[in-house]
Amino acid sequence: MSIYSVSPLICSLLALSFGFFVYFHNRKSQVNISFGLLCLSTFWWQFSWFILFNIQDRSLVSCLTKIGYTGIIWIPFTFYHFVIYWLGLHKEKILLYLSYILGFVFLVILWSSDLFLKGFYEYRWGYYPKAGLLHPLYLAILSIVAARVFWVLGLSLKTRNLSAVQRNQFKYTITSFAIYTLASIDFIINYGIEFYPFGFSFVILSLFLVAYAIFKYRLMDINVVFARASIFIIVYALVLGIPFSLVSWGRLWLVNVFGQYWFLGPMIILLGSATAGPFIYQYLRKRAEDLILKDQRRYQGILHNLSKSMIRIKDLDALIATVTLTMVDIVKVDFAAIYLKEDEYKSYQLKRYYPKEAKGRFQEFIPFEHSLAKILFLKKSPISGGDIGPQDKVDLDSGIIVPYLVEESLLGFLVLGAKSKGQMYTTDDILILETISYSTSLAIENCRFWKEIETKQRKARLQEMDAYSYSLAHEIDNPVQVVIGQTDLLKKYLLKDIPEERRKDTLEAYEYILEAAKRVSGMVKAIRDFGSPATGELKPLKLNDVVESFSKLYLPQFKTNTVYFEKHLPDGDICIKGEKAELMQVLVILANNSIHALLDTKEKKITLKAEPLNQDKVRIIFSDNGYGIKKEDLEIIFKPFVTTKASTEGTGMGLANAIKIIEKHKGRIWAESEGKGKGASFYIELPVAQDTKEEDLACETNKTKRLF
Amino acid sequence: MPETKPIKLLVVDDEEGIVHFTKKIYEHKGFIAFGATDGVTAVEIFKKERPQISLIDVHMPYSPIDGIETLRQIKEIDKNAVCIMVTRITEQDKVDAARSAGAFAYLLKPLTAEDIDNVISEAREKLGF
Repeated sequence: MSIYSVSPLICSLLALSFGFFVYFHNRKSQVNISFGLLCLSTFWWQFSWFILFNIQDRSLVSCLTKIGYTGIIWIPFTFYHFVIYWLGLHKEKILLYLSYILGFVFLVILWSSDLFLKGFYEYRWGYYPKAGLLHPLYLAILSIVAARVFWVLGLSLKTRNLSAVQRNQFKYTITSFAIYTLASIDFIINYGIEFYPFGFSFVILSLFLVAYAIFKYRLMDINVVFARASIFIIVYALVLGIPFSLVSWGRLWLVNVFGQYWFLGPMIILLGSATAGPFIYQYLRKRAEDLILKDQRRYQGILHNLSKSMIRIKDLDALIATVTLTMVDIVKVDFAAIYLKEDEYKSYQLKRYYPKEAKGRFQEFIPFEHSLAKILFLKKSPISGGDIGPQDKVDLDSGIIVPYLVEESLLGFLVLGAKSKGQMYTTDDILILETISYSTSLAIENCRFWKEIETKQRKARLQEMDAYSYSLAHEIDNPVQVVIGQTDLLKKYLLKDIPEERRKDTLEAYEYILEAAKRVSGMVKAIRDFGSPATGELKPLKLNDVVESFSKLYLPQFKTNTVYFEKHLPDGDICIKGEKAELMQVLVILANNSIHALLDTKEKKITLKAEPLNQDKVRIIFSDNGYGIKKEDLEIIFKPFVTTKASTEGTGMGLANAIKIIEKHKGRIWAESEGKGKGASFYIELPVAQDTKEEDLACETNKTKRLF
Repeated sequence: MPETKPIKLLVVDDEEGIVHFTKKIYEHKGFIAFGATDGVTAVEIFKKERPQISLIDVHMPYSPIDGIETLRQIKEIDKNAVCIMVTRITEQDKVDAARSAGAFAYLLKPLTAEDIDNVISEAREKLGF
């Protein structure tokens, strides 16, 4: 074996094993495939030269140089192939196909004529192909392809918004390719200039650089496999290498010392090392994996436990809070957010994000027809930057999106930022995220199911409460009537029996008792009015009566929430037609909303003003000094299921009901607000009950309380 | 105010306190007032005392017979008896039943003494007692 053939042999074997590892790690990835092809061409080139440098038979040389070039031709094109897929430049594909066609043309020329290679040189270290007429053309094309490769790499580096990790990946890829390009120095030898083809050293160097990038920056995500393979090769090189090198280089010495049983020593060493080999390999492999996967194993264990315990969480808010918190604090990603499907909005709504600083990143709604939703639904597994193009208008920013799927629908998705330590998501990460997404989807469904049951139970309870409060109001009124009647009796007839000097105080006491009891009685009546079943017909009512009943009913609520309530009523009776309970309900809905809008206001104030607008209409203005309503929301808020309250409060039905009731009363209702933080006013206009004395009379009968 | 022959008034309500103060108020006004907290007692007192006016609560859940039935039985005894029905709930069928049974008036609680007084004077005018 020629000493000059050792370097191409080493280089070719390195390229081959390297290509194998990358390719077999992910046989479906175009990036891995093209990298494997590049390595294969490199192997072909160097291995042919290894044979070439060893043969003696001149008749074989021409054929062998052609075999070698059969590999060499493809190097620039596979190079190009890799870069295009690595960068995701799908538009360049046509050029790539074109370059592959060129490769075939050169292959045909190579084998059918001596235009490419014309014979060979005989150098002192062995035979070497001689450039033919068209060889410079090939070199020109090679230069163009190389220029194109570096141009697109440079452009991407400059224009793309890359994370620190990606920037490093670029740096190493470009450097390693630049070094590889230096190997083309060997082409000079094809033109008769004699020097030993040391291009192999650049190839080896560039392979090492790629290997380093794989380890340090998870280029192509094969560090674990690579570590295992390297350990395996090193261990077995030693296991087999020590005894064999002992035999090949120390044989003379061994024969001298041990005589005819010289082979026993190396055999014992071989047996020993072969026995120990697997254990050493296992040990080293475990250590290496522990080192490489230390962080990953830590959080994967936690995620695994989380996915098991998730199904026990019954509160949706708690569930999504747990998931986002775990992702950010345990997995250590920059941010996490969860979107869930909301049919009412035909969108995925942002339910939670963490940490707070990430707020600006998320839009509140992502419509069903958005390409992100479509991609997630089609792919049904986590997507990362590589899966979406610029036309999709989604900026993943080296993060990842995990879909939540139940049966055949996309329930929502989890948006994760880049890993905080600048590492890439590994295949294992994606796998565990996918697994945990199944249990999360189930847990979400589970929460929604529990909530539904709870709402149903609550509804049933409220219905019972409804009936109960109605009869309760009745039962409270009886004793209150006793208090009022008895106090009246004391006041009218028994006061005279009290000594003169105490009469004033006693009378005062009676007045207080009467006042308090009448207040209770008024509230009870308001509750009964509010709870009385709708008859469906609009009866004549006094506007002031409705407002008074509402304020009696709602005053306790205002007090609990420290709201200052002010009402302005018109003098004299204005008769309207309507259902008292329903009109009260509208005011209750407005009051509920106002109290919510006032949560963060210091001096809470609600004003209710009723006034005649003209002869035909009355107007009620209900204002608060709370957080106000955004201009674009002024109309939306009357739509069903729209709520600004947290998901646990409010059904989003309040104002939708209000508008229904007011429309039934042939009136209209609308909102006005100067904007956020400037309070809001709701306007209600209702028609005045016109003409007929009969109606006025009916309005009057309310006072006399006599049915016949 | 009648000086020679005081008017007899029967108050029927299942709330004892209401019966008590109503009785007292009318006693102060010169009536002879009787009270009952259930319909059966009311009918018995009516048989014995024959009051000209009866104030009857329609809704008496604890009484063996309700206000409407009490009204009917009193009217059976004396169809000229003035019965003023008092209630808190407006149920049309009760109102109709009271009307057809011959009740003089149907009033809604809560009531003031004046409300009742007005009806009583109306009845006295009509029937002349």
